[in-house]
Amino acid sequence: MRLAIRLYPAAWRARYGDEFRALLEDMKPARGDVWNVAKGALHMRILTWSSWRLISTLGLAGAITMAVAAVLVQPVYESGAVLRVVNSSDLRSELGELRTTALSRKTLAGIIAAEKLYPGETETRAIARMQRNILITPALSGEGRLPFLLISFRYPDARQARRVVEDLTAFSQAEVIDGPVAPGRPVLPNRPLMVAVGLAAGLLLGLLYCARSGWPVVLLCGVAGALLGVYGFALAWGRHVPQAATRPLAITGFLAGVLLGAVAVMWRRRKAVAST
Amino acid sequence: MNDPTILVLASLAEGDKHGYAIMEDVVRFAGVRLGPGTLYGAITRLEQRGWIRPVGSGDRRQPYKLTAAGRKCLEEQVAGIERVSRAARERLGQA
Repeated sequence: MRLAIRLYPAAWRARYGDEFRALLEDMKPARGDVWNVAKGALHMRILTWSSWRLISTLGLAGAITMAVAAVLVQPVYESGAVLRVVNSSDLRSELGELRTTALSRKTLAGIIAAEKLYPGETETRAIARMQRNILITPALSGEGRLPFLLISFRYPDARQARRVVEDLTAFSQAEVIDGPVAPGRPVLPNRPLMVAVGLAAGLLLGLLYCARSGWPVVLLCGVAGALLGVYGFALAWGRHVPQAATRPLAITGFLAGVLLGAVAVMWRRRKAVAST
Repeated sequence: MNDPTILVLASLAEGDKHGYAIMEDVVRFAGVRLGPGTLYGAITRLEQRGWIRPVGSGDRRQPYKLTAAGRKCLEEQVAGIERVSRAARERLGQA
């Protein structure tokens, strides 16, 4: 409980500390009261903080939370192989054949059983997950436009990922020019990206909290941003926005609008306070 | 009805009280137990708004008094609650 009291701002403790301690002595606090005091202290701190301090603290909290999550998330490794196809005309048929044979339920069930992949999951779920994690893509490389096939597989165990790619390449007639290796570093999670997202989310949350009194302006800016994101793109490039790009453009525009709106509300409020 | 600020104002309307006395009184008349953090959060807000003020005491247990502005605020709140309560009772009677 003493620690919880120390969470209150020093100025608050100087004013109310003695009588608050007297209250706690009289009432004999229960276990739940520690949380109540800590919550009260946090609320009191937030009330005494400046907007910029609150925003930066929430940003930091978001970054730390995501950094912890990034450490706890199971890493995923990707192993890959490059196969050379003799003729570019064979590329399509080779790709089709590989997808038919290597990605068939029977083949994948065999690999799952042999490599002991996805323990604890039903065969159907394991096959579905494996299909999502296998990527077979055609490519034309170099000046001679040489045809290649790229096969990759993602799995939490680097050595198992390599062995699966080896198994998959065995189904192709094409020459393996770059065989699979056990990757040393995971491809997921992207830790710097996760921390950056946590930081950005915390900053945005803090900004929206501080600008909550001007929420109609913030919302309006968000909607304007979404419309500008979609139609501004069409106007600037003079062509129709592809269906797949509409949603990302709208969301990006909305977030940018909300951000600018919140900053504008806070800036205006600050100016009003300075002039009084 | 468990807004801590109204509960504290209602308690002080009866007479000056310190934190623990307010807490006990609120349990008695409203059946609500205010946590220490919640109670002092309400006391801090009410004092900042000028609705209550501390009264002289040599003890660590600081009593508080309802100010004229606090009494006016409580009267307004109670009138609002009564309006809502009357309307709700009438509607329940009609149903």
